[in-house]
Amino acid sequence: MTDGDDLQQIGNDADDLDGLLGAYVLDALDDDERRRVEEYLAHSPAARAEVDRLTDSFDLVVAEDAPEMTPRAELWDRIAVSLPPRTDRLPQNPERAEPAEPVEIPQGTDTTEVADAGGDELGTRRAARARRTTSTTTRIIVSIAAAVIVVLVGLTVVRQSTTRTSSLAAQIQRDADAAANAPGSKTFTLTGESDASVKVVVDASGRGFVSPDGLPALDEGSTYQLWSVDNGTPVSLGILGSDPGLTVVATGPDLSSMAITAEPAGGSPAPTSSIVVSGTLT
Amino acid sequence: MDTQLKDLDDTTLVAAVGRSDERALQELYDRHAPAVYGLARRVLVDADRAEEVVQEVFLRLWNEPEKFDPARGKLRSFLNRQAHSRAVERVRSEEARRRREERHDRENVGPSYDVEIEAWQLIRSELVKEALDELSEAERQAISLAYFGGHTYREVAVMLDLPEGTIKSRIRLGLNKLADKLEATGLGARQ
Repeated sequence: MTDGDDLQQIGNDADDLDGLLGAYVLDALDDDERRRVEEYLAHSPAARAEVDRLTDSFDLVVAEDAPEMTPRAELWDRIAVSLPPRTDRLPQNPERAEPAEPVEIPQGTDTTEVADAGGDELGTRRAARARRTTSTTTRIIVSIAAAVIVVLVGLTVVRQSTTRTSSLAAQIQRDADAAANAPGSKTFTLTGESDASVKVVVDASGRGFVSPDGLPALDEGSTYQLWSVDNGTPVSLGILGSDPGLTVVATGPDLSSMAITAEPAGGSPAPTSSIVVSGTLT
Repeated sequence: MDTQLKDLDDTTLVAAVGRSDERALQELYDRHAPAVYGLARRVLVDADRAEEVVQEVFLRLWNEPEKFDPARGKLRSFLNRQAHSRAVERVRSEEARRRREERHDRENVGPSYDVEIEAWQLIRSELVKEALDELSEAERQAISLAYFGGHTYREVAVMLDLPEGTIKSRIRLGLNKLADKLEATGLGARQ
């Protein structure tokens, strides 16, 4: 076969594969054809663009033609009990509620890190897995403990380690960049006695993007924790980890001041140490 | 109490799932399970099997959250694609079993595609309906049999006693018409 024949063959294949793009969008190919189309899509931006375009519009048809239906209530329970334990996922000390540090995670592992600062309602299965120690609660300031715990419930922190390169992390970075330039965003600059400077950009929807700069790494048994300190009552905004990178927290839109303390791993319902950095709206 | 979780967008919640936050998964389940289940029911009809599909889809999200690429589209579409694919796998494996059992009578093993076609008439959104009106009846039938019937285009060709190339073309042309129309209304464009 000559080079010309090869090119002709490639051209014919591309025509054939283009003809399959519609059926590909509908999952209407057999396995062999689907593999061939997927290989083709990886090398043909035009074909990929067509598939994306057809998929987007057909999604609307699906939404209309397959109306939402509520599954039976017990389905979630079934899913929840079937989830593999978290120790199967990221290498970490099972006695710690905090995630392993990035340096402990092999390359290629998903290292987006999310810590929760109030897992008390997560159910017995998860509580058993997390084995969060309750010893720190003995140090809670009793008068404010109840209020703080209420706010803590449901709090979620997403932490992106600097080693992570996935598109999800990239999306968070893009969101952070967008928030930094959005007109409705507020910026807090937190400083202290050290050289550390932590910037928190809160967008109009109340998402806070925490960019720690210069916070020294803590030992594995500790974590940084972010607080709002409006009205004199510290309310946890989330755990940042022992060596924080870019982190997303749900802050709510109406904060005026924040602070970061160092806490035992897993976080504390109320601050147990002195403030590392703090600051107000800038 | 999860008002803060409810304020987070899908991408942020998927990142949370990546760190084994079960409440984040539950929030995503609350948001998207009805659509995923609706689609699985649409293809499979059977409630138990549709729930199996939902379970598999959310388990996979838990196990492999990094598979979701926000640059490639919305989470709802990502989940729906997986639900459809898994539902279709079930349809096809059953069809294969049935074909083995009824090998001598293959031609008569067809779907009740009158029902499938009829279902198109239940479409509520006027914009989508108008877009569907752009399709010929033949294009609509081919798309519906393939997607909601869970058949390959080759199977659709056998059912309708038409050449495979005709069905391929009808599907692609029909989908492009839908995209053209919906993009013209501002609905189909990717963000």
